[in-house]
Amino acid sequence: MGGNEARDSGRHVARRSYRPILGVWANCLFGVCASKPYSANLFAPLCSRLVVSFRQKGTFLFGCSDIDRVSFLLVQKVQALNPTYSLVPVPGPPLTADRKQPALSESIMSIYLPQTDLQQTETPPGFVLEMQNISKSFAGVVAVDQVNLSLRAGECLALIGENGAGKSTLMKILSGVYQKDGGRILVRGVEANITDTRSAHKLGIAIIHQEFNLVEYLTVADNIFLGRESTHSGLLLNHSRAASAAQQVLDKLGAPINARKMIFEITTGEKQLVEIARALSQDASVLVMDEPTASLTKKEIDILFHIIRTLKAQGVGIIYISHRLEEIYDIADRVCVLRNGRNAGETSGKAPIAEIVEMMLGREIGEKFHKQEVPVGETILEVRDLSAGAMLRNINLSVKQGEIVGVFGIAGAGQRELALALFGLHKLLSGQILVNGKPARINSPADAIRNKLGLLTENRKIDGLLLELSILHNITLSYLEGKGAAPAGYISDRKEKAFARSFFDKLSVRASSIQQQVKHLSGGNQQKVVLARALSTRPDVIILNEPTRGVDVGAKVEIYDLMSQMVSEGKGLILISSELPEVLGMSDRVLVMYRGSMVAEIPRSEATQQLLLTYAMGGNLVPGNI
Amino acid sequence: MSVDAGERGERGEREVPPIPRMPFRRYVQQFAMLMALGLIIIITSTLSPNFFTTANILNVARQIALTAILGAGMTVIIISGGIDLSVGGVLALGSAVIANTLIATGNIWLAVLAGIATGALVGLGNGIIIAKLKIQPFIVTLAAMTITRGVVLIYTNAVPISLLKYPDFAFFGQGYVGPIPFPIILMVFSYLLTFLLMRKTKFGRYVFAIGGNETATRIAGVPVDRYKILIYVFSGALVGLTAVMFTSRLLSGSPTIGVGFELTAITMVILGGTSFVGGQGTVWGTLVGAAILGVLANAMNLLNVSAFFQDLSTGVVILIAVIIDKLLRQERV
Repeated sequence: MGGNEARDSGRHVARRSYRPILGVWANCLFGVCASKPYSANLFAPLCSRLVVSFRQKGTFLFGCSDIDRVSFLLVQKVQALNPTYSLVPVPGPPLTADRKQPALSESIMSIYLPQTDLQQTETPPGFVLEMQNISKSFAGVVAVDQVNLSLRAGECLALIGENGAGKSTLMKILSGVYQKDGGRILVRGVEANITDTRSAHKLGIAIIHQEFNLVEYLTVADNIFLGRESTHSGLLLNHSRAASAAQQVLDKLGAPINARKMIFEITTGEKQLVEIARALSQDASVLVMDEPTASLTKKEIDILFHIIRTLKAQGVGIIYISHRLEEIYDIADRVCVLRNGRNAGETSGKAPIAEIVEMMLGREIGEKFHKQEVPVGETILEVRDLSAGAMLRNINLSVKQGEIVGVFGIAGAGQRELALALFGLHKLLSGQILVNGKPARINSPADAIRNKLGLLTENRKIDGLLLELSILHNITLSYLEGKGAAPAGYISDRKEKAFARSFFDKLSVRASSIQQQVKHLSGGNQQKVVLARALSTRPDVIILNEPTRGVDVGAKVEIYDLMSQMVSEGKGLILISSELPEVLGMSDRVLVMYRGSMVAEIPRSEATQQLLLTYAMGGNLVPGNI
Repeated sequence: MSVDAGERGERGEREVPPIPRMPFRRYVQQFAMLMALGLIIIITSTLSPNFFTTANILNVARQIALTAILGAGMTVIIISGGIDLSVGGVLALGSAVIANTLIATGNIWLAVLAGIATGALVGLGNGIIIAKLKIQPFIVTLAAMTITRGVVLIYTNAVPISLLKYPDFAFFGQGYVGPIPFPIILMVFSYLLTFLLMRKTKFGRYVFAIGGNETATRIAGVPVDRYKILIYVFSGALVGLTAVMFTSRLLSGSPTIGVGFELTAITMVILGGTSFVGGQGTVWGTLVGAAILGVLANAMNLLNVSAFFQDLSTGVVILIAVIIDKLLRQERV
């Protein structure tokens, strides 16, 4: 970078209070822009429109549409520092009209160069990455079958597919976590042998996972250079060099983050940018992002997208995994669809939603479900305008006796949070839960159980089972809190066993004995044990969160039959699932969730896979669709 | 990611339930410590003829009894996934409170009650902070250890409180019921009580459940916080009981006793095979662990091993025990 001196002096000036003297101002403008682009908001009151960005090779481009007000002196000052700098007017988004200093995040957006400018950088021809006929199976189960994928430099390729379509496996093969069984991988035209994550790194392949891989109590700079620390003659860590190098990377990226901050001090969106910066500092030419926007706010997404565009302009190839069609529409050049571990097709990023959804679904015929027609009775549970946690916004939902209400959404759309909120595990911000028409106060699972709710949690091993304990003790865990179950805390073995036995038999759990440890059971039988516990409190409404996940076909059918049995007993069910055939096959009504809200309610007669998936991917938000 | 979950799930699916056989290794594992205890006893008795005398056996048993009760409480806490480092401090505080209560009221039973209450109250404080503020038990009880030590020094000026005027009180630590020292009876009582609590009551079930999977237990509708607090209160009460025995045995309120006792208690629990991760363990194992420590110390005394070597060998025994335990467990996973 050319202007270290200027940058320092600029920082110095910027730290002092701002004064509208032109000389200082110009200096300041330069310095601030060089170190921290967002500090440009200092000048917002002076220039009605100000656009700042920079290109590769450390040259900076200042733009000010109100060029008349920026004196010629400014140009002179800047060029005196470095004759290659120039001031060019660029049309940019307007700053706030009332000349108030805009909020920080707004000003970040306002300093973006318009897209047109970046697209001038030509996309270099040729593929930076080619994956050919990649196959991988696990213990005989084929996860990825003869998949082809190619990526050009400077291209953003959206990789989409339903859960279990093979995206993650494919990306794990690319990053060296798994070894491919067949096929080959070419990086920049040369066949690469990726044996572990390290060799993937060396080839310039970087993956940013949904769960960040950052050390909370180290600084941003330390995280960026983790494992590659710069030292004073190989002995002591050189913090200042690391910090300035990290700041350079961040600035080059246009990421408004102070490299000396600790990771725990920055926001989720910023963490994402730090991950990107780390990848770039390792000279990554292929960047894989796994649902990067899953937990970002709208503004953070805008920043991320701007950075993705910058990266594209710099020739980085990006594989973007997402379920949000609006984003894909926004950012992707091409879309590659996987289905059941195979290539399902490829299309342009601006292809009609219907085409993409069609590819994802294919022409499979759904499984047969034995859905019984049950008369629908009174409303048992009603949720009004419920908002909770960081995710859920204005949820409305009602369940009647004998009704199965499906809640469909792509993983992470807020279904899990919904289940937990109804069960008193997320603090409600607003809204009401009504049980049998009366407002219910649910602050804990115990309250929920008292109000006749039951919950089958999403991940039985994490929040369902006590793996070390027996089937018996797992089933009766909730029952023991009930009235009369354990007078004065004393458990009668005989009574407890008889109680558990009735559920054990009713759900036909297959085990050698009711005393068997649950950790030795198959997935389906484990699920039945958790379900037995949920039923043991005799709930009227049962929330089933992914009831058939990781369960074999036989057990699936049994669980569906149990659901039918429950509704015929007059219970109401909320079936939360990301499996389309299941939701379509079992539900009387389907609610579709997208980013923490219910975006559609579709009666059984009108529900189709296409419709549900389109809503679940935010397809209704893309212009010109639905 | 979802792919993996599916795959793993499907790989684990077999319609035929696995036939549970108790593998031989499990027997070995369960009784390893008992066998080790047997081995130590056999070796010692061949080396020293004094070991297998009634007097010595009762002496060892009484030694064990004095600290073993701490192990019972600690077992409950560790099974629940917690830890208690404040045991020694509470013991000293309890001892001072007992002595002063006895002097103030002259009533033995009030003094006993005061001791147990002191332990339970400190446990209550620990439990509330751990459960409600969700601070790690290690940190909370570390602070409690230091605080109780400080309080007892301020309270007594570090001067032991003599109870020589109350010879009746000596019964709890020094008395006999028939030929059996009373502390042994108290120990058996405490272990039976803990065993029954863990096996036969909601409390015990929830201790295992909380240690095994706290989230799942909470979602199942169990008031987890309340039980966590109860766990520390129960253990604290047992520490109070131990304080009664010690005070009675020394016939003085001693503000400096119990240094390092928390570690002794934890050692017993580890030797007893209780998982440090929580969710698994038995009180009987802890009793065996306590016996190993007691017999080992006694053996080295009988064999005139220097005190320095005693510490060394105790440490080595612990290390060997946990390594064997680890190796036995590893292959099952």
